[in-house]
Amino acid sequence: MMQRNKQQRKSIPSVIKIAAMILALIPVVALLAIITSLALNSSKAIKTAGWGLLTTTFNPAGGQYGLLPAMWGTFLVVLVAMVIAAPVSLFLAILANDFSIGFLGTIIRWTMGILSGIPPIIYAAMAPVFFVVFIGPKFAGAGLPEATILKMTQYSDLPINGSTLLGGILISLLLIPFLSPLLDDAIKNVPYSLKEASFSLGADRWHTLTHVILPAAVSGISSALMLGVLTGMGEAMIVAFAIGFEIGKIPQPLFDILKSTAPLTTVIVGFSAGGFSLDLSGPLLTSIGNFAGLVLLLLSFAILGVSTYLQSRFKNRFAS
Amino acid sequence: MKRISIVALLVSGAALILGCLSLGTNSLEAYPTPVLGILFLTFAALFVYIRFSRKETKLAIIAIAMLALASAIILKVLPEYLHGFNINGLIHRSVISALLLIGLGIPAACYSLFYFLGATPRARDFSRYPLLLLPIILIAAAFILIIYKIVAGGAPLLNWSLITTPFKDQSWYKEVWQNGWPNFITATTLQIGLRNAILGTFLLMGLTAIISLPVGMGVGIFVHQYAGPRLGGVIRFSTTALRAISGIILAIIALSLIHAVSNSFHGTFLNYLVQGFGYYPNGKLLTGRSSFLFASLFISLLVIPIVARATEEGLASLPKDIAEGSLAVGASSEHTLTHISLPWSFPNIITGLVLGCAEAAGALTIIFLMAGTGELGVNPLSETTSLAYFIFDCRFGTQMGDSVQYYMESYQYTAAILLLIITVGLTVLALVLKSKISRRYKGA
Repeated sequence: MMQRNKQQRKSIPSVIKIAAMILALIPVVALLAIITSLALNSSKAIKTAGWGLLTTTFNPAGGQYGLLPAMWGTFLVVLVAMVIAAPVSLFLAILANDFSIGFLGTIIRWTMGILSGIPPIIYAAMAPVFFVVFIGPKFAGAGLPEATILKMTQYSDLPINGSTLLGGILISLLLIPFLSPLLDDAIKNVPYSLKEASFSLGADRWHTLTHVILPAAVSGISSALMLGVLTGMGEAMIVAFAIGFEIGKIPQPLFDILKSTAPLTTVIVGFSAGGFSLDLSGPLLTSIGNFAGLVLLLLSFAILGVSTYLQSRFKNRFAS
Repeated sequence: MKRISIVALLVSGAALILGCLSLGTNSLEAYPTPVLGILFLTFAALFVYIRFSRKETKLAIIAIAMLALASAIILKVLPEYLHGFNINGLIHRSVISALLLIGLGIPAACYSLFYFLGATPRARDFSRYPLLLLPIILIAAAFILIIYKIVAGGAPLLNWSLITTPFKDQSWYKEVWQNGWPNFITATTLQIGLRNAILGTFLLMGLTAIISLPVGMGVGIFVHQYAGPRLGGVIRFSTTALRAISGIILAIIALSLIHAVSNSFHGTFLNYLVQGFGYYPNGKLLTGRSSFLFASLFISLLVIPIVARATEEGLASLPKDIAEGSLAVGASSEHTLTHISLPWSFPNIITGLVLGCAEAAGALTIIFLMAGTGELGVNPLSETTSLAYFIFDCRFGTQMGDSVQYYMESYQYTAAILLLIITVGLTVLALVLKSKISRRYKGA
């Protein structure tokens, strides 16, 4: 009797352990399944197009399947978004920590927390509004006298529905509430002894910030910015609304953000799904969509790896 | 000193305000040049004053003055619309004037504030506020524009019948008897409303919570309690990676799965389970794009990492003295886990779950290729729909093969208000819970 009780006691904990282990393997299995599925589905594209997938022209009718324009589009839109979002969220983090007056820090933290609850589709639905308010009068010549328009017929490529600039602005609005808590943590976790040493030597707050706190937090900050890049890269709804689905060529000149250059995510949407329905657009184009997904996945892994490495370095630095 | 620096402060403040306004309107074209001219004069005077009264040569101040003069001349020379340089578009002069005004106004405001406050180290700290605050004010203006447009566009259309009526645009053949003979006529139902989208959002949230709670807790417990550094690292990396990879990748995986199932198992129960089904009023069976159950399975892949992270944090935050006290009175480590650690981390898990629900309500990237209008009812086996998808459908409805765009495009901001109430409400709830958690006993 005693023995059986002991056995029962021993068997109950192991149930918890085994159940937790099985559940814990679900994310690993899911990730492996995702990678396998993407690789299998993109084999047709690799077989058919081969190195043609890495050329600069995308024209399915002509048998050209270069994905470099889409990759360039991703780079451009993330660049615009980060140029706006990174300084603003860094300033917010600085204001919440070292330059806080009264309740300013608390107000900033709560506001950013609340704004982080806004889903991306809201920003996406705002694309036409931002176009009318900002892009239209500034860049598309809304309200332009007709005589001037006639003179400028050679520039028929005016941004009509959207542009990379618009997508970048909207993504930056999504990124700011996401980034500022991360940067806030990175700045907050700099040990107070460093600041005290700097203050005791007679440095003012600004000097301490630029010469002590920011250099000490640089790996944490760059890790957070990497996560921001990752989020901006994977955003599909905002770019679908604000940039559109047209990929053809790399823009000329290269950094022309007034043109709409569709990024990788919209290519996946456009060609894997055949324009938003279950009738896929032919096996080859579906496979190319999957290949674009694979490229995006590998890029994400690379950035995530760098970010994780930087974060561990940041942690080890102040471990003692 | 004080008098001249207050003039400089006012002028640079005017330049900043004018620059911010120029980003929003084209009609202030007459003002940048005089403001920059006055800025040049004031800063030249400030430079001369500092040179003679304090015997200091401040190169930065004379540089600001010179740049102000140069940009005033540039703005005078430029035409109203710039084009050329191979750029696909035009650039209005106000963009350039706004950039110049803000770019010069920030250092000008910083320096004049510095001298206004007496040029002490403390003044140096305070003089950085224009630099730190201005970009934030611009972004705040963008957020205010968003909220204003949503409320102004959506609130007037919000009423009770809109919330309680489901959207329906169905036509089917109906059998009627006329003069003793059966006759088939086309019957149509057209209803405007958001009920099924709202209910679908809640159903999606509930199903996602049910799926992701046990899995996320299991991951968190295993990584914290049992896994060695290597296995734990692998599991932790893959949960983070699931969160970090784009939702669109999960969407195409789901899409190819649906396609494979509908090709191989067409008409079987599995097909209906994955694609969802509903009945027309005449009893005809219809398959959807994908069921709520299938969609929430994929959304929970995004929510599992949140719950797992919350569980892990909660378990790690258990004060050591409580855990050791439990072990000291003879409890096994598993008993400690189930009776001490998990109840302790319960608020953390709930916070994570609430955040995950907010994520599920707004997670459109995964479901937008496999959701529908929800005309055929809301239950775990019918076609997915949600408020977020409804907003999407108001723009791309015709491409998706729905008629939502025809009838309900003006209601997109109303749907946006309802979605914001759900997601922001849940986020605020999570924030309140988090601040409650941070105040509890942290151990001796």
